[in-house]
Amino acid sequence: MSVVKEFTKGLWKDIPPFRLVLGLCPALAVTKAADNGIGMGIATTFVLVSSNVLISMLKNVIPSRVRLACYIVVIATFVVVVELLAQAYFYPLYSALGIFVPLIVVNCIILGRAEAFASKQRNSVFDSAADGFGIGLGFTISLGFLGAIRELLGNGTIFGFHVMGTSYEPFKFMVEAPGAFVCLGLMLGIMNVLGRGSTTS
Amino acid sequence: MKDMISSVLVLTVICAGSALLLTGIRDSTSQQRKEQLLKYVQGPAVKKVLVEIVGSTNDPISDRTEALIDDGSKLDLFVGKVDGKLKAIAFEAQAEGFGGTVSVMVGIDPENETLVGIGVSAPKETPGVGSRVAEEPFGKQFPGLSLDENIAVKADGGVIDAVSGATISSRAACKAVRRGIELYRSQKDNILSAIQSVQ
Repeated sequence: MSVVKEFTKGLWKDIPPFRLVLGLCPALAVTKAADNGIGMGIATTFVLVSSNVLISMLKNVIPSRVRLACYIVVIATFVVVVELLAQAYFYPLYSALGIFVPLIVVNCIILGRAEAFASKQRNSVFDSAADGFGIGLGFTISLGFLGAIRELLGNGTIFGFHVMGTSYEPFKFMVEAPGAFVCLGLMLGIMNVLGRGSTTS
Repeated sequence: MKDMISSVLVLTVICAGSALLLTGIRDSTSQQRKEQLLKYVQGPAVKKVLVEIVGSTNDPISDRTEALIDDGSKLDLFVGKVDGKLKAIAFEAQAEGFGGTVSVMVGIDPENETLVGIGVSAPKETPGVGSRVAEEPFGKQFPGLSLDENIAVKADGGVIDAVSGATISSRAACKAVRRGIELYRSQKDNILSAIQSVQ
């Protein structure tokens, strides 16, 4: 039961970056197109699940004094694994994400989940895996959604397919950096309004 | 004291495990990564330099060969021919940029000793700033330059206009080209004899 709960909280109650306002840098930077956003989300999910599982398994061995150093080594290892695998099998995605793949190391969501969830005694390895997978999937959905909106308005396409017709004049602003801030800000606002009923009661 | 020893021990073991895992994955994917690089990075750069600029009529990707360099390593050489006659060769040279390695496909006309063109790949430079060394306005300064020319940005007394705001990336691209020319000069015999084998 708790596994299901840990999984689903990442999809709505704690969905990053709208609820859990972490990981904003990749959310702003790579969401020029829906497929880039989803690719970034999948890479982050892989790192999140792997590091959560490993840290949860090692939580009794890691001395609390060096725990952050240990977490960062574990996270950095999985990020390099993702980088090598993406380079070997998904090169177009690797080159589209560029510098943001190695920067997954400093994504606060991952260290945050390791410190706040996976390393706690009361959470089992399965809970930690479910937590990582739920938060990661939520992040993927959010990034894909942001990317789709920006791609649709800024380029008239979704996943590279033209959907707005030939008469549509692309709103280029949306695929530039300021468009990312505006789009994310509006989404945060909408999520706050939608969540108001459940949080104030 | 016991706490300190266990801290050092645990961190050391985790780092060692990490190194082991990464070495394994790096080695087992190296062939695959090389192929992807050829397909998506070197391939288009070679096509740009040898087919678009020189107008080669052969397929320089399939007509590639390896030259054995004096230090024992191998250099991938791409050969561009027009109607069966050797026009230009291209190979990759690298230099450290701002965020990582900048790779440049250096195209050389061995007969006239000039650069025929360059194809820059700079995936780790700052997007929109340093990454612009891979774009046309910077790259088109190179075709036709003699190998004796001072290939450096103007701030360093050379002949190349740096991309504004990206002096480090521009320097790296120029340095890679200079390295390529040095390599070509010092290994000319090895390179030319390797080319003979494909002709």
